[in-house]
Amino acid sequence: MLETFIASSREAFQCSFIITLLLLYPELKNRPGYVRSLVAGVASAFIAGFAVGYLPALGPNVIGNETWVFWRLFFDSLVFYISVFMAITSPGFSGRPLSAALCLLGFSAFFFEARALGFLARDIGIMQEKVAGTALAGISGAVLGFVPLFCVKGILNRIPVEKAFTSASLVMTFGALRFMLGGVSELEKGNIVSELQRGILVFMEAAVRKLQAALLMSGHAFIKVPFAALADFIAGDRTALTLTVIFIMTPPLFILLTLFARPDPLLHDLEAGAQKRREISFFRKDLVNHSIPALSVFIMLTVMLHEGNMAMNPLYDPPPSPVRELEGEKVVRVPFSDISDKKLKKYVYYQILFLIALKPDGTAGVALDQCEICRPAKWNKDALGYAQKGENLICKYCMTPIAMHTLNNPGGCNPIPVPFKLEDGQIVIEVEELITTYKKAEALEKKGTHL
Amino acid sequence: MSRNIVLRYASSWRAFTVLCLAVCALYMHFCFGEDPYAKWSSFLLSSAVGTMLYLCLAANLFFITLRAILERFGKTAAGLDEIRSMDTFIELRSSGENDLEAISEWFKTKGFRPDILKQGMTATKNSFSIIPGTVLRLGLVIFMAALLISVNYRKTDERVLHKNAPSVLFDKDLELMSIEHKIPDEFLQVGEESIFRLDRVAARLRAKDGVFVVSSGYPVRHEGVYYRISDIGIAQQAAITIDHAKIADNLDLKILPPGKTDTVTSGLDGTALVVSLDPEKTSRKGLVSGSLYDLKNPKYKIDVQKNKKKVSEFVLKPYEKAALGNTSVNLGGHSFFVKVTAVSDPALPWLYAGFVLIISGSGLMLSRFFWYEKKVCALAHEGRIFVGYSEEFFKKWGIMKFHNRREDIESLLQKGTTSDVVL
Repeated sequence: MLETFIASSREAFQCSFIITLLLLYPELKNRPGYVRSLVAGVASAFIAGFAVGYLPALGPNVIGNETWVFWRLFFDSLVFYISVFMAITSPGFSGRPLSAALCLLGFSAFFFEARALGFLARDIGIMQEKVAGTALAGISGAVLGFVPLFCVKGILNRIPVEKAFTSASLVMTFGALRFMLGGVSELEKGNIVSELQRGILVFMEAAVRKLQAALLMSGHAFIKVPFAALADFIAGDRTALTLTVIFIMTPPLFILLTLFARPDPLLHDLEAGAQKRREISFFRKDLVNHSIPALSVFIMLTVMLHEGNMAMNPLYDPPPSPVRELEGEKVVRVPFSDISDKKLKKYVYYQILFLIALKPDGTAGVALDQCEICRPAKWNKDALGYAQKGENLICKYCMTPIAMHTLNNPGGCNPIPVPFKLEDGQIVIEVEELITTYKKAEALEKKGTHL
Repeated sequence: MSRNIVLRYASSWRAFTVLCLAVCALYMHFCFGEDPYAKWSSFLLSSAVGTMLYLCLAANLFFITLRAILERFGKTAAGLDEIRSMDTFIELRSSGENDLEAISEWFKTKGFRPDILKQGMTATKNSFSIIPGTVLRLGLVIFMAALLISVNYRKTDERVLHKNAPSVLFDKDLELMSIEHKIPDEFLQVGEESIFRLDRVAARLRAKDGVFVVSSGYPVRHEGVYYRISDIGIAQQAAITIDHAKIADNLDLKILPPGKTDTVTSGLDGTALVVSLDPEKTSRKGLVSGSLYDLKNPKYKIDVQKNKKKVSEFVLKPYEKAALGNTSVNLGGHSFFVKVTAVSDPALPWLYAGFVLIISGSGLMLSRFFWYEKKVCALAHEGRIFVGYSEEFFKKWGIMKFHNRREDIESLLQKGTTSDVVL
């Protein structure tokens, strides 16, 4: 229950932080109608989202979690890119259209988190057999999360936000903050960087291979083909990362560029030197102030890039996606296409963490995210399991490389294999076998470390 | 008039953005299912709605290019409204009839190409900076059109060709005369990942009207059909029997690079042969292992499987035979085979043309950082001279530069200005 309460209050606090930023904008300050629209959007997002996540009849089954992450990232990206449109066209709308836009913005700021919180509350409630209690904890946590916003409202009103923000840069900052703070970390860690990079990689690889086939120049495993190296480069990780960087850096750079491309004030008509200096000084100060949001977002996204990417940490350790059996079935199904990008994937069935990866021979490997030997201490529990480095799995605790083709082989440093079968392009794991394998692994007398 | 409106909409960048977003939205729609790219491209290139969307996008790109060329090189007199809508303009007192000539002469010395029309003057610089964008867009249009034709009209055939064995590809009798390759007699594989590489594989083919060479590089055209080598492997003569029933004879083995296995299904139910090259020698030093393969006289590891369970295993060289239980293997000589892909596609040259233009256009686009159009328009109107200036990019610096030159223009007319406006 405490976990649900903490997650809810944290997410609500993060949302209130973003909403505060919007409320500080002069166009909204002291305009109760607009504020009401924004708050109504957030409130309806909480009610609708929590209900969809909590009530199985309203929300889709758990496999749909990835779809929810997709839509969250899609809407956040949409808002992020609307800032570019605003920077180009400078739309000046007010009244009802603005109220509606603010209501939508408020809705998108909390709906996806509320859904995830509802789902989390239900999931933890079932595990702890306190379904109503966790729901109550979730709702009260969310309400508590918004309290600081009301407490500091008076102080925040004195901050001269208008000096730094234009409507375009405000929307851009909203989008960037959603990228940073969006999602409930206990359930989904769908970072825009990793998700987008993965999507671009899949698209580019398919597109390049089709292009090679169209030009009758398909690549070969060992015969040199003209432009094959270029094709491999374009279809590779680096290009996907480059395109991801371009995607997330375009709005701040564009806004910065429009600011700096403004012509300097023309001072031919001004006689007095002091007046000229004042004009120039005002122009420069304005430029610096308006650059602050774009530069802050730029720094924020750079940090996020490094956080989400392997540039700083060469180990690829994806967050686990929750999976459950479908209604009326006693098996967990994962689409084979999930691993087609050759990246390690992790899944969690209640508390059982397992991994699936594509082996070099094109078959799948399924195993628990633990071996028979290592069991890190509780304070070091993040070191449990495996990450990917190139063609190998790496034990995060003892850093032993495991060749990917040995996945499914039991013993030693290898992850404990889980029986599975392939059916209609899906990896099918019997729930009973998964639980049995997990229980056996937990019962093993591990030595803690062999280092 | 209506034709102009149609052209304006058809060639608008907004229409291009909308069409691109529609294409992206379609891809996202297919992302929720299996193999999204294949379904997306199939929808765009094979379904009626998709093809319409695709053709609209190609046509839009074509009209954008056409309009850009017409606007760039079409001679129009500089009107007052046009001058006022430029990046910046100045208004000067006219000093006489030759003002426009004086201004045009002055801009000529700055590298502009002036053109004096009825009442006004237009001078441009770097007009040909349109080339990179035009090349890129035309490349895209040609490639898109060719791809549509190719997807719908391409016919493909593929055959494994053995030396001196006649074969038929697209109803054409062909005979493989020789294979050129640089497969080494011995190959040392170090580490887990294959390091086996071949620079080029070529084959001489005899057709009815003569001999031609196909290779693993660019496709070769012969009698309207494009040929290319898509694979090479080992052809091994063999006689494999189980219970006196022959399950396989001549084997075309795709077991290169060394380490790769090939599964040959037999006529018998559930029986299969899993063949790979067996190293002559294997050694390990520290974490690195090395395997030496004899490719001149290869050693095969043949696993006979029944219902995916290994029944027997043989390790043999050519011209060796062995028997184990009810299974016998008798190997003969070996040679190499090539797999040739033949394609009949009227759009393939256009695909290449489009591809080359796209690559060239993309490269040329880099020049746009410093190669962009600058335009000056001047007009005599009611005793005043209006001079407008605009640049394609970096407008801020263009405006500043133009205003720095204002004194020069003033001195040309020997009069002072009355006002200046920046838009």
